Amino acid sequence: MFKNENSDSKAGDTVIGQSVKVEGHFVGEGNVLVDGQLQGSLKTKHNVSIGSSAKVKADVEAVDVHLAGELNGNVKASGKLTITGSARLTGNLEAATLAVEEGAMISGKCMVGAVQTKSTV
Amino acid sequence: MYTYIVEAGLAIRKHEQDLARIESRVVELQMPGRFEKLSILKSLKEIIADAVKQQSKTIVLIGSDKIINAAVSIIAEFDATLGIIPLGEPTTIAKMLGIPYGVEACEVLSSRIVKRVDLGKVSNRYFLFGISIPDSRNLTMECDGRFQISAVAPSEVLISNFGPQSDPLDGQLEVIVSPSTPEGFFSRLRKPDYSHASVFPFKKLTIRTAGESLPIFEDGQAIVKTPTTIEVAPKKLKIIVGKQRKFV
Repeated sequence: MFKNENSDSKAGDTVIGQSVKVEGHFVGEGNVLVDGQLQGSLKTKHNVSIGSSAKVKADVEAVDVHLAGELNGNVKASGKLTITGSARLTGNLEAATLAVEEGAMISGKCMVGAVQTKSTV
Repeated sequence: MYTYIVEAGLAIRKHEQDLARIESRVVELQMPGRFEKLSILKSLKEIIADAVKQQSKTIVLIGSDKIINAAVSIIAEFDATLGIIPLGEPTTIAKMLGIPYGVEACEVLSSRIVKRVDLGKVSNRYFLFGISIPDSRNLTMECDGRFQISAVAPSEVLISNFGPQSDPLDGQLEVIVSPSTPEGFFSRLRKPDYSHASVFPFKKLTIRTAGESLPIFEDGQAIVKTPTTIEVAPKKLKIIVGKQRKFV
């Protein structure tokens, strides 16, 4: 709807930049882009992108998840989970589709296939 | 019926001819009404209250962002529609609403595209565009009672209703945390990269400071101090907008 300086975001999206720290339970409607620090939990009805400089200590649940940074927590993607070569995942992952680049580090259980989603109250 | 309220001040006096053209044009476009000039004898609140009492359904502000910011909180309490004719200093608000400068704004008024926009509410006053805290030191913000945000680098905080990352029709406001640009060439090369702003949509935001209270500004004027709570007032204000507006 708008053009903006964060080229990957639009009105309604959440951007957690490197200059902020977020603690708590984040529940959103739009896309979430994380480049900074997040502690707690993150759940959205859209997509999550965790940048290479992000440090996330949270369980993450979204449709598509793009992981390029550090994540300590479980990740659940009802769509596609993409883990790039710079990603460091410590936790379980569950996704309908998974793509992993060379160099990625993953420590946890892995379930790939149809994901059962609970309805959000 | 229309009431036209003209902002006081030197900038407006330079535009007497424009004002005369506006007065003629509104009659040609069948929008006649009373013209009131702000003065020390009559406050904005009194003029608006009188206008509404006399069945004026549309209040048109002629001037800059200053008069718009001052009037929004008053008009929001009445069931009136706000129109704007920018004159004098340039207005950011009119640009966002797609309203051209001067007498051309009368054409937008006559086309009468009315939108119900969200307002922000802080300390029993409403704002249309946004408010800011230039210094975010020791600041903690709690969003919708669910999570807390704190800045790890010197930043400016903007609570936005209008703007590239804000939609005034979406029933929420946005916190935008913009890091201050470090001075010096080598400072900018040092990691981490604080060049991008952070954006958080919310309906209710509580701002607290660890140390002394910080002032919160609207259009360069301090309006309230922390700690405070800011909420969205969804679809609170009816406003006439132009086709070139920056939102749908």
